[in-house]
Amino acid sequence: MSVDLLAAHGLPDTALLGDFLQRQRWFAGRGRKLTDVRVLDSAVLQEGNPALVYVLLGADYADGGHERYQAPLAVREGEAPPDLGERLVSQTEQDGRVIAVYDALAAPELGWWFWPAMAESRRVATEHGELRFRHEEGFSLSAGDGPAQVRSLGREQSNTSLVRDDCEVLKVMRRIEQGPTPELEMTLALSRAGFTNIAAPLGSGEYVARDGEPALSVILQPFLHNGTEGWTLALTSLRDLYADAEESAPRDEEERRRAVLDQGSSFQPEAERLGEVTADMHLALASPLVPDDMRPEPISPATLVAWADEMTADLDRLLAVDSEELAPLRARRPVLVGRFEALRRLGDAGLAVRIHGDFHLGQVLRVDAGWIVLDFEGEPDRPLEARRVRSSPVRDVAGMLRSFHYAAAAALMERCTPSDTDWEPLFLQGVAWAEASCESFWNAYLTRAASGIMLPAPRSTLVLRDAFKLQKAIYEVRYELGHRPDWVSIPLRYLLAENP
Amino acid sequence: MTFAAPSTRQELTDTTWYKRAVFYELLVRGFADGNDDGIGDFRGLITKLDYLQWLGVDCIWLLPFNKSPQRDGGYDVSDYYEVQPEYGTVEQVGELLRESHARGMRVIMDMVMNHTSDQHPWFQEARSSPTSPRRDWYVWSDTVNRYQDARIIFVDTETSNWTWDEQAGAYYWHRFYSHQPDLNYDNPEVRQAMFDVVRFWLDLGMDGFRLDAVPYLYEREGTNCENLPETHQFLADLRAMVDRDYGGERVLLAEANQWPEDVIEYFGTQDAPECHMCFHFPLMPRMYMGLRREQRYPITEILERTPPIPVSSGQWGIFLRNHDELTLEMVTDDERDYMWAEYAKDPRMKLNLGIRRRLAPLLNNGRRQMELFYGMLLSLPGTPIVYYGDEVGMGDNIYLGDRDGVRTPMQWSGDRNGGFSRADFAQLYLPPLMDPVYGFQAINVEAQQRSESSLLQWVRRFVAVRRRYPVFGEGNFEALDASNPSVFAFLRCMGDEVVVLCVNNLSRFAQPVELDLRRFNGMTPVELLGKVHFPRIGELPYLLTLAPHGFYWFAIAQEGTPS
Repeated sequence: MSVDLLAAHGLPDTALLGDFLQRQRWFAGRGRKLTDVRVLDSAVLQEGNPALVYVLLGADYADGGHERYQAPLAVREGEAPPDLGERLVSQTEQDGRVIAVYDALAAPELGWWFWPAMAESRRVATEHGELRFRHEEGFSLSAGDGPAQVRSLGREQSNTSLVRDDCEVLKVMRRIEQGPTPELEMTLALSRAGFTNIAAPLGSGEYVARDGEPALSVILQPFLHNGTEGWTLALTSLRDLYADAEESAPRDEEERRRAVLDQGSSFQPEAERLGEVTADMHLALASPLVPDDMRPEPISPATLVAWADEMTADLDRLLAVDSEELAPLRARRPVLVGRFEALRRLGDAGLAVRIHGDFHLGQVLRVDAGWIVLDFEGEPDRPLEARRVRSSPVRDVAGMLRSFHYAAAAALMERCTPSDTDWEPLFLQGVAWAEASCESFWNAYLTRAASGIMLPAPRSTLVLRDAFKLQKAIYEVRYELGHRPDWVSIPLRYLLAENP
Repeated sequence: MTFAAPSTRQELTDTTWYKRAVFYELLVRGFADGNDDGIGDFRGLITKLDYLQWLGVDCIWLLPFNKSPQRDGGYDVSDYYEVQPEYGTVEQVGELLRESHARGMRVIMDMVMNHTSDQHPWFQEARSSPTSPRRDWYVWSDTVNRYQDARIIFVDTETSNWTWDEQAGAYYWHRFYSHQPDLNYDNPEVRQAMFDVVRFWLDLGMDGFRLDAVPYLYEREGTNCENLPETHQFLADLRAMVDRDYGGERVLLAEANQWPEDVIEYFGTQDAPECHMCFHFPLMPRMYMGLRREQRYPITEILERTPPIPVSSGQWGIFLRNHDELTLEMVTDDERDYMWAEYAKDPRMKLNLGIRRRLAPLLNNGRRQMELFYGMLLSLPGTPIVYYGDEVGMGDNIYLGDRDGVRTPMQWSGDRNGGFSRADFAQLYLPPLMDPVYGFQAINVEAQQRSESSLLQWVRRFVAVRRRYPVFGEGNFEALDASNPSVFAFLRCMGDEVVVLCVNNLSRFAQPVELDLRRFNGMTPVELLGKVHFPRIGELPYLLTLAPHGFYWFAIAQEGTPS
């Protein structure tokens, strides 16, 4: 009947859908002028009342940009469920019948449809393409499973997530892009290479437009219990440290070091385990078990030259910014460029592998079993192809090392600002914490990574590490100049340090 | 015979009483001196039963009191049918049992199964001649080459598990000290003899046993001689006998200082149950580590690694401290590596490892920390065991050597000898603590009974709350996700009906936490002590704020239903 209903009623007109789209938290086009919203494709996934309808919306912008959004909708004869808020598309009356259309994922039981779709590897024809579902080995449903197990996760950002039975999370992608999704590609490759510290996918679905490339539509992953972001865990440790330092500030380097070593809520054991997990991840990515297009390859001299050029260009772009604060950095340029130039002289620079690409404390989750690495999408601002390029694993390591320093500064920002008189002694204490964490992480990483061949000779590894860290810090300064002027001094100090 | 005195409490005919009970571990020698000779005894202990009843104790665990040369704290028994003379007589033990039962309390005793003292007449006979009828009650060898895969447990004092006996002209086997020869459980006479010992004490009214060092009863070539199937068979036979002949209310508590996945074997199977209770050893040091790290992971990791108990009668025994701490020799390689990795980085933790300290000194005498620890002890899955003196926050004397440091006299009052004994000070088996912080002038039962806000009164109140809610003893455990790593939150539930929510702050700073309680949408958390109704649970994450080292216990109740 719902198909009839849909036929009689049709989807709500595009003005309503456009309104709906712009009200959603996952809509990324805020601040851009939207010129048109169209239904690019649709399919009835499930009949009944309400019916489940797959809708793919196209958004065109005045700037020439174009985006695609997935919006599975519920179409129901009768009143809409209460409390839908911005997730209601429309409620109309037609020939004495009330028809409600709303975000199907606001009714978690409708989301159940995706589970059997994956378990049975369904292919569903849409008006202009196809939805293809699949599952990984070992995933299946049993007789008692059903819609009642599904609930919404509640934390909605750029995608919408549903949880089944507190053991699986279904992420329904909202904005979809063509081409392989690094998250799926990387977690599958890592899982097949035997790396277990990830939320390995259990199933997935792709949308393929006729004559188009597949785009990730949904992904099913294990629900990680009792997790805490590495960032939060680091801040817990730092709060304890700063509280002690506020009571009696250590006077010199040695006392600051002592304070970190004697600290009750030490982060070093966690940093050490994180270093091991990071090395294991890279060893898996450097192993012959990854797919052909991810195979490790030696870093060529041409690549090293390109990196050095890119880093120098990044620095010069930053120095071109008109800011008083950057004056000391200009004087420092030759030293920094020297570090980049060192890349050109490296003979062997180890292997280039697929890397995480955006590795920091916010991307790792502490669970009971240890550290889990999350979010393999890479740096969100970069185009897909750039995010899939193979690079030195040391790039990830440098990202994490910088993250320890950032955590130390962020925890301090919770207490005071750089202009306060309290700042300096506490900041130095935080640096001691970051250095100790870096040391634990780095040593554990090197020890573990030594079982593989991805890293070059120790001296070359250090050259790579220092160059990547500087590049990261340059990026940080540029970012803070634009977003949080109070914070500029933090990465800047690192760049100006005697021996960064 | 079950009980000499008629029972006054219904629970005394309950086969799972130990799951809801609070245990109290004490040293007869150190508890109360009834004959003024400077050494605690049964007569003194009997006069303190009212106190234990007042505290809310359900079961007293007596450290070894059998006759012994006392070279290993009484774990070297020279007569299983006798009481160490300074402590009293078998008749007085009977009186203790009657008096305890009259107060609704039970008593279990330490039973050393694996070995005897070398002064035991059995061993004296056995060593006297190769043809002695008792020769085969122990394990002999002409060489030291047998059972080479068995580790040496007391590596500091022993160099081999074999010791040459001049008189016997042979080596004898011992897993612990060389003055503690292992009994030969392959000999049916030995098994019968130990059954007889067990029956003797059960006949007297003893409510059960803490079985010492159970993993080592049998030896087999080519194995590490631990956790052997024969050992499990013996324990299953013992349990069957105790259940069959003593009405299913007596309890066996296993000391198997192993990793939880190995320990659960000592619960046996549903068809062939072994011990009712086993100690959960790794939990305790991880609670200290969690507090020090200000995060829950050291605790949640070990709970996650703890398999479910395979037998419905099974229950963990948990403790904050006891007389005998986790030593690195007594844990598996995994756990040892973990503990070393953690402790080695932290000199202060390392200092406490292997050294026996009491609760209060380990927590720097922090009242909030002690309350938090008792809060966790009384709410985590398992039966809590309180070590004597820790309820008032007694200290220790590390200069007495590792065992005696936590065995100083119970501090009853500010009077002479802390009210423990009227003997001359010099006569006391160990000097009571007299320092200004932990000494009996500062810390004692009498003073704390008079002060409503004392630690003792606090512990008593929370013990009472625990005893009112069987879910603490019998409910399922479920850790709750919390985005704040300093907060350790969990549910204890029996079905969907009874749900208790426990939230603990491991940090010395106030902490907020948002909990996902949507499955209780529309219900109300009611704080268990004050019956304070908290805001109703809705669809949104439930926000709680916790004081430094604070904790809450809530019943999750339907609005309007009395909690």
